Amino acid sequence: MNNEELFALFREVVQSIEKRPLEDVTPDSVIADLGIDSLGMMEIVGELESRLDVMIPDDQLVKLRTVADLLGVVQKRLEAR
Amino acid sequence: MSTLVHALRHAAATSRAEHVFLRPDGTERRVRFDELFEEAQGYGAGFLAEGARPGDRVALIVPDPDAFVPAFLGALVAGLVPVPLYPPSSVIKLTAYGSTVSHVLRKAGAKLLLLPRSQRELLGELLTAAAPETRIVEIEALPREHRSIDVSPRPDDVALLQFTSGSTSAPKGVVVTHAQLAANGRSIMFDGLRASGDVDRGVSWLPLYHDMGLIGFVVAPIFALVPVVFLPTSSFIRRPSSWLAAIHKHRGTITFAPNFAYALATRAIKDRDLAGWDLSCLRVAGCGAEPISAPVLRAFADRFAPAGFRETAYLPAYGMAEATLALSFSPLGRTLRTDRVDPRALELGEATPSTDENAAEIVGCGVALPGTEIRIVGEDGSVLGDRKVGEIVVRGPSIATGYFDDEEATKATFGGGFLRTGDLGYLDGDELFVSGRKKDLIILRGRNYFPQDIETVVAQVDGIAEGGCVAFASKLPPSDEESLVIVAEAPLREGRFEALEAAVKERVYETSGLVVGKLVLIRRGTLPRTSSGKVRRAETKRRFVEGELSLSGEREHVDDHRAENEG
Repeated sequence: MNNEELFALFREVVQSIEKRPLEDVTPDSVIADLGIDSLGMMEIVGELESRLDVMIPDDQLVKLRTVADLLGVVQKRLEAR
Repeated sequence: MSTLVHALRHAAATSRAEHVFLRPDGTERRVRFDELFEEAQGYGAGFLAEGARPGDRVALIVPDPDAFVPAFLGALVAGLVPVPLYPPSSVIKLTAYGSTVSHVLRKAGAKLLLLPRSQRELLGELLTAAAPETRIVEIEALPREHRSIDVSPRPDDVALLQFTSGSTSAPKGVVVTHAQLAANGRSIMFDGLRASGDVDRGVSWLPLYHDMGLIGFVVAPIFALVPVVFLPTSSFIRRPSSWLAAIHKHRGTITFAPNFAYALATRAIKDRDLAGWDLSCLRVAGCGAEPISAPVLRAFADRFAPAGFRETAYLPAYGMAEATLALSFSPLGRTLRTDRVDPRALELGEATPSTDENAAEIVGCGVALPGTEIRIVGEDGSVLGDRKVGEIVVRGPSIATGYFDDEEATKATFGGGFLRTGDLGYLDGDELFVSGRKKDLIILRGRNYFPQDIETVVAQVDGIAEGGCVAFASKLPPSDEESLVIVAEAPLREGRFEALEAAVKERVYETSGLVVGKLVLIRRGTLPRTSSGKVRRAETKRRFVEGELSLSGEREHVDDHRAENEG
């Protein structure tokens, strides 16, 4: 799965969980600016894990700033499979 | 009298039941009580080898139940005082987290801090800066040779410290003795749940650094030899179906969760997940730690009835860390008991029954556990009668000693013979109804936040003055869920609102992980205050809800202004 596909999946997952459209989100978007709290973030990660059949340890989720940071972690786990 | 340590020894000697630890990677680890006791002794011996002496505090940042449970019990077994701490989250800025850790370690005078290597690496220098007087020990490096420790704690010995409030302002450590711990643990299992190791099995994803998970599922079950299936909290949040799947697979009979978790499960679990489930084994679906919503519980029951869930399993309960954990339990097997009352009358201190469609529906939290006394008192401290709303005050054998090293707060909360809960409620006969949260406390997703903490942070934003804002939780459309609202005295400058809003949201988010649902700007000097200048949060919220706030820059003026400037 390339970065574009992963980003598209991310958008889809976020929209289905947050139940609102995500305007102007790009890989450079700062996660904090998306208006998603820690609970929402975990739900999104859980859904990505489920769809992609990967597992991301909690401590890899702590220092993320942008969407690209998060997707980078996901991409690494996909490659490690 | 028999403490938790004695109970653990007894369980190790007599029970063949196994705890099950579900790991983040999906694997399971089964541990019998005797193995658990041995592991605990290993941890205890390790703590002593690292220099801890009887009565010393050992802080724990151990997110996985797999390691947390034996480490926590290990401290107790070695005559030490565990101090559980929450781990860093994915959204709160690490510097803010470091600040909280620093406060707790200092306040508790912690001798040791135990955490996994991965956490230590994550926190890096932040940790060294936060813990100058505390020895940092990695779980992987703890010397855990098997050693028989023969400590018998006395009833009045301090068992543990539960730190309340998860934010940067002075967290307070609730001091719980072995006597209080045993009283509550036994009462929960025998009086409240009538639990037995022969037939019961607990299932929990609750955070173990928080009272409901810690006392409810780590401590109490040992007194009744009841095995527990532990899921890491983040596993549940990521995949809510894992909670009910575990109940189905392990035939769980008892579970507890805050209200938001029942709502989350209802909306996130898919039909294909629940297809094969049989949840009829669940005889207790407890609910506590935050205000309970009858519609949420009904929706959950409706959703999972086809999978065998019984609504009579619901067990609303009330309690707090200052009471070790549990104060009141609903009777077993009772259908949800709610009270429909007039919301206006409620605000004025009377729980007047109402059949109006605007009636507030309050969920009953049951009756006081035996030996515990619950009273409702007025502002002047006088005891109020049935259906009169006042502060809930309690006394009994599980009320904690006080706050660690904080005489003033201890006197204010525990002084006078009764614990002042700060929660508002009323009695109808024996039945307790909790009608209002602690006077200003914000409870979101089962966690407590002090408004002062959020307000301090908001006041750091350019344009908002110190003491010039108020934070509270309120239901916001369209979801009708509780959200964080900030009301701040600040002018509504042309085109500047978005920037100010973004700055406020970012500051709040990075320090508390909370999303600001709404920011309202009001004219300078219009925030309601007491005669001594303190902000009146409840009144501010009331005005917000009623639309009575003096908003900055009325819309028409702004539009006129813009029209003028565009000319």
